[in-house]
Amino acid sequence: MHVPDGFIAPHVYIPAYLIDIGLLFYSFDRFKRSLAEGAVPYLASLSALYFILMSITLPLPGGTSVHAFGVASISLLFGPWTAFLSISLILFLQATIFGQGGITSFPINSLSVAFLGSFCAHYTHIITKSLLRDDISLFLSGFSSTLISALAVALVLGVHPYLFKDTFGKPLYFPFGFGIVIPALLLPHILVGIGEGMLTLIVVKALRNKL
Amino acid sequence: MIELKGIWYSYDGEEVFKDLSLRILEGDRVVLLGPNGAGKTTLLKILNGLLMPQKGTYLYKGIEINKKSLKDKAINKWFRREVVMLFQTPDVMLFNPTVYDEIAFGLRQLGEYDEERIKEEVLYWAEKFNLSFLLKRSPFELSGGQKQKLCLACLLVLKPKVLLLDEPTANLDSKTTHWLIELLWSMEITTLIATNNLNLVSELGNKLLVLDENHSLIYEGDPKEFFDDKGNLVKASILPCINKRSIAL
Amino acid sequence: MRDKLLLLVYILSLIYLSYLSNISVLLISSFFLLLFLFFAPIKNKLGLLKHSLFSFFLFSFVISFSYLLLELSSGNREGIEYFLMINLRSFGMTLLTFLFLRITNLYKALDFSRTLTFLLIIATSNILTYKRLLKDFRDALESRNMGKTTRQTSFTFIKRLSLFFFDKSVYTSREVYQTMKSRGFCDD
Repeated sequence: MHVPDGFIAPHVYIPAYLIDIGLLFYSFDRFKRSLAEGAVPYLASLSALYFILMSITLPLPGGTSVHAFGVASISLLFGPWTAFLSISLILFLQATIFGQGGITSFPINSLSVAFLGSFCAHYTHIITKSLLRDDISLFLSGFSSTLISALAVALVLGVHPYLFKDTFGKPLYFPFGFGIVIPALLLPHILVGIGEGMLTLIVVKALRNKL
Repeated sequence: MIELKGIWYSYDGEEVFKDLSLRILEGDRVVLLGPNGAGKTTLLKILNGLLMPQKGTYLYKGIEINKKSLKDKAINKWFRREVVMLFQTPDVMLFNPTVYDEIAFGLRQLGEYDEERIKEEVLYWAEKFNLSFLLKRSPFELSGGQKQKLCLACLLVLKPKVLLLDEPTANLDSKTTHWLIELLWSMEITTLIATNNLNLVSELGNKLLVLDENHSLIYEGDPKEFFDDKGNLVKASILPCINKRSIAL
Repeated sequence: MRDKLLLLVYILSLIYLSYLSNISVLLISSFFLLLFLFFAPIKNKLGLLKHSLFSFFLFSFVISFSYLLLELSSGNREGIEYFLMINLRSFGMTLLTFLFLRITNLYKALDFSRTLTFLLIIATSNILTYKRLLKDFRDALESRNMGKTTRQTSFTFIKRLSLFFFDKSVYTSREVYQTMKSRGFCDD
């Protein structure tokens, strides 16, 4: 989610950066230990694969199409920690090298989309795979991870007007509270979630025999 | 048959073609020569209606090809059936589960033939290209040369009028290269072949277009005349520096 | 060293800007940034300015303008101040970031960790290669599908993309690892 700079308060993005960097260090360490060799090129390649997944548009019933996140596919195939790492790398490159802005929203996206999204997909799949048909379980993993990410971003944005206002009560950063931002983000993300669910289904089924 | 009039094309703020014009007549065997980065692929993609020039007109059989006209389903179908392109990396063209489906894809998209007729066509082209024993295999398992043949079969099954080929010989051994050359000459079709292989120019076609490093069309005409004047090669940055010296001597 | 120093200056300025909410101070900051842009030894200044404007404008405008309308409709005229403040701050921070990225080499600025720098460089180069290939995949499909993409075709196509790029990733990562080893870089 491309939230440009200026809308997120330093009281939010600075701690978010600290937490995110800590988690990234931890997961990179885990990642390196789990591999015999070549951690750096492997991670770089995985990230590029993720980049492709997030560039894919999916046709939805009714003639529209959406860009999915691709988070759940990577998480279910390579595990949530590795997914968190490679997706964060892409988010960072997007904010910097590819000049799409939002350097202060990077840690928010990294935590909500890459971290929460990956873990949500992972656990949804673990819980539902024995209860439901494989297809449905995969779809649900993608769908739920997208909605959780959108909800997390909405909560972070929505908390701003309550915490940061001037003496007259005017907002200083993001202006809308939960009542507006939660439905405004969640409703369109239901469609994105459907796309993500379908993408997860196709990609995981195509690739998991190869691992 | 094909006419570009004053084409301007830029990509990512960088100008590729400035006021480019050219004509290709029916039955022409055109070779498009130029160093890497001269814009050969870009030109082919423009002629295939995949990239749209910012200025100028592209006429195919007198019909203007642009975003708007290609939105028209009938024109799109007619144009895409008549003007087909072989991409440099065959992999990007293949996505169907089996070789059979891959060849049948175009015909199914056309929606004019029933499955029985489609089968006939697929079997004919598979036989012609020596792919019959691979029909049930996945296209991605094939070797480089087989993939190239399969891509060609996918295009030729449509009986196109114009075949655009982007570096078709780059990944082929000499035997397959000569098989391809013979195949192309045996068909009644207009071809435009992009290459940077000097040795093959006269075998691939009878008309030469040369793009230089600055994406300008610096030669249009008979291949033999072009090669007779060695200065041309230097101008087109086709010869490596070391040869420039030998020419000077 | 220069790049690391610039990184530090950038981070401090970014945090400073993000704390600002006084319109006049924000105006002065934007003025200085524009002045810096004007004198900075970089090419295509107008392009950079346009890029900064475009990248924050859509989101910023939708949010701040709808807030402004909401405020005005309930008779609050102060909404305009918020509108100016948030857009100026967003513009300032975005321009600052783009200026920083243009005048520094980010890879160098982050090379206190060699692993991180290599990771960024290899990932970037992979992405650029993949992007070109993806474009070719899409063009080839467009060229072959005769204006009719059914859902079935899309799904087969997506499946193919994931398989192709997965294989490519495995292959590239092995290849790059061997190259790195042969050039003396070992990350194990």
